[in-house]
Amino acid sequence: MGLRSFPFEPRIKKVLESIGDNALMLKVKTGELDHLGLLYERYKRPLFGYFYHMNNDKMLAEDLVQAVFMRVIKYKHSFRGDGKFKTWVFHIARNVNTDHHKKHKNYTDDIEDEHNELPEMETGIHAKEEQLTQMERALTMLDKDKRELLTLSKLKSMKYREIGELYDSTESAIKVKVFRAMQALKKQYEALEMTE
Amino acid sequence: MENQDIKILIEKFNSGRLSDKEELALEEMIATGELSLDELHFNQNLEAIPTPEPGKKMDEGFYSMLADEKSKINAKPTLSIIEWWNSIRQSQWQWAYSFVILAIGLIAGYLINKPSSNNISTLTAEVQEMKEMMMLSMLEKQSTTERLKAVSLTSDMPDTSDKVAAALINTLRTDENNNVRMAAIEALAKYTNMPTVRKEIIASIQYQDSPLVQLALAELMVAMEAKEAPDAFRELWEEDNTPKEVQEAIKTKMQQLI
Repeated sequence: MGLRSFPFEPRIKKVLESIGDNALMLKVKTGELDHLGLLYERYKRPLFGYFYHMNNDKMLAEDLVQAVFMRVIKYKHSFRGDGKFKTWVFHIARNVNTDHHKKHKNYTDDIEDEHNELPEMETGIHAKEEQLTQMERALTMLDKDKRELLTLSKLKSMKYREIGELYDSTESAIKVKVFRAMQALKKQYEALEMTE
Repeated sequence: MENQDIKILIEKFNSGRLSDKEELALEEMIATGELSLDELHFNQNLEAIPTPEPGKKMDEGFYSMLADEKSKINAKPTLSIIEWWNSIRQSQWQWAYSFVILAIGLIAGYLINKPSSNNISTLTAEVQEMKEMMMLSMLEKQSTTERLKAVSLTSDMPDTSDKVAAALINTLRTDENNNVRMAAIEALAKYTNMPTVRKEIIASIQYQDSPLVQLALAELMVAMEAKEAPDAFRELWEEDNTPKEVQEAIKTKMQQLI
């Protein structure tokens, strides 16, 4: 039986959804590790998406998601419950990503190589898909900070206020940074268009 | 800035005719909240960039890691009685304080949770289902250790479940490793009051060629008082090379059922 197809009854699902992340994490903190399964099910896709768009590597993204939850267990004692679990877990995710690339010291090289690995569009494929591939390419060509901001705000649907908490910054400062990142993306996208 | 001026700036931005100075003015308005980012048209619909689905391996890796962590917690040594008593004597005040906090916690917990006992029972049911899910996933693994762990997980499950029973029966019939089959027999012991499971365990005798597994099953048959078992063993031995000594030992056990 596939794990992802595990059928929660709608009624159970509704009750479970009403149990907050923090309440679950506080249970995990006291050693009731079973509750981590539910947090994993809630956050595996957003975290996977974050790592995927940061590194453009599906296998690596899967490994890093696992690394995040290993750290959640390791550092469970440090979760106080006064902030959002989402912010806490993404804070860990950012550290995991940074540590991975420090360890391998190849962040820039990897990403540059991956620009060339992105699939070239075959002629005749719908223009919209071509546009999306071009945009994905432009996104990977941005510097790490801008790419992360756009990944969090646009792709992973984090609110500006939440990103502000994650970055220990204000909501308005984040909005300005997102604006600049979007501008940079626009320029990168146009530059790619010119070279095609 | 006047509404009209803001509109002009937005139009200029959207058509790509913004000067550097105007871009700074726009940033200023975003920072002060005068202008929402949603009002600007970026052309780049980032949300539409597809994100692939994570593979099944990620789930398996996570649940396996969780099972390992849980077993580490369960394996932690407990304090001996003397150490425990000494620790109490050394920290009487801490204990008194903890006791007061515990009492407050219990009362508060009771008052808070009383109206939502349904939620707690549902949560317990969900934890049980998570365990089942983890167990079923681990049973499919290549590693014998993982499959043994999966079978042992059932001992933590307070309630019996058709899904788990079916998985254990399947393991008993088909697992390539005899130790895993033996663990499945032990785990199935608590399901023997379910008529279907009982029938399936007896039927599984014909799939066993290991003397050890046959002996373990014979033990279970006696405990289950399964009158059909002697016939099942006889049928098995017709086409089987089980050593005579083992057959005799099992026959002796079966005497208790006749």
